[in-house]
Amino acid sequence: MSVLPLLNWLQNTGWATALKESALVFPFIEGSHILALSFSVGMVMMLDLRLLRVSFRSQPVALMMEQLMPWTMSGFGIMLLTGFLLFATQAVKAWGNTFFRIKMILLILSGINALYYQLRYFPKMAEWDRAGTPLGVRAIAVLSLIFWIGVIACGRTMAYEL
Amino acid sequence: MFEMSKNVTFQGTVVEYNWENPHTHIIVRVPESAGKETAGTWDIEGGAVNIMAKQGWTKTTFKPGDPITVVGHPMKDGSKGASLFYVILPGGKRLYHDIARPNADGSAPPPSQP
Repeated sequence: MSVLPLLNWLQNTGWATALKESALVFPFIEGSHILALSFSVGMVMMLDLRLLRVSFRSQPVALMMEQLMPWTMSGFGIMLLTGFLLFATQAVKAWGNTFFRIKMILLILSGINALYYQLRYFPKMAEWDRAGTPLGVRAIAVLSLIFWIGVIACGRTMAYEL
Repeated sequence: MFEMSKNVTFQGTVVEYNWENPHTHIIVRVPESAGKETAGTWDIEGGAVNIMAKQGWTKTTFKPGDPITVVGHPMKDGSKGASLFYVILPGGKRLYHDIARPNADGSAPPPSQP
C-alpha cells in the first residue's frame, strides 16, 4: 500500500492549501519552527555537553535535566506541530526528498538514543552524577549531538532540493 | 544555480500555476516552433507568496491554458528550469519577481542581456 494517496489528500485539505497560499501565516510558522529549535535542540545540546563534561561542569546532571526538560519538551512539541504543518503544505514533494528522509531517520535514531539513555542510565544517575559520566553516557551524548546536527543540516538542505 | 546574467524569453502556454510557499512555480510549455533553445516544458520559479503579492501578483494572475510570455534566468546545469525575471501581460504591462524590481518611475530595469 502506498502512502501517496494519503499525502496527496493531506496537502489538498482546505487548511493545508490555505497555509500554502498565505502571505503571513506560513512565514510565521516557519519562524516558529526555527525558534522552537533553541528551546528543544539547544537545551539538548547543552545537556549533551554537560554529559561530556564540557559545559556546566559544576552542576549535577540530575539538576540540569530536571530544570531543562520542561523547556525541551515544550520546544519539541512546538517543533513537531509546526514541522507537521510545514510538511502538510507539500507532503508529496517532501516525502520524495532524500534529505527529508534522512532527517526522519536521524530523528528516529535520536529518539532511540534518548530512550536508551532513559532506560539504561537515568535510573542509576545518582551513582555516577558526581563521580563522572560513564563511557556509555558519553557515547550517547556524542551520538545525540551528531544526530541533531544532522537533523538541522538535512532540514536546511531539503529546502534546496524541493 | 541560475545563470542570473542571462535572460531567456519563453513564449508558450501555462500548464500549471502554483501560487504557493515557499516559492511560486509556473510550469510553461513552449512549442517546438519556438526553436531549440526554449522548446519544451519549463519550471519557472518565482518568490514566496507575500513577495510576489507585493509586486502585484495574485492567485488568479494565470490559470492553466493561458498564453504566457515570461522572461527568466535559465538553470546553469541546462535542465529545464529558470528563475522568474518578469512576465509580459497581454496589455504589455510587466509583472516582476521581487529581486528584479522596476525602477522607481515604473520603467523597466536596464536590460542586462537580450
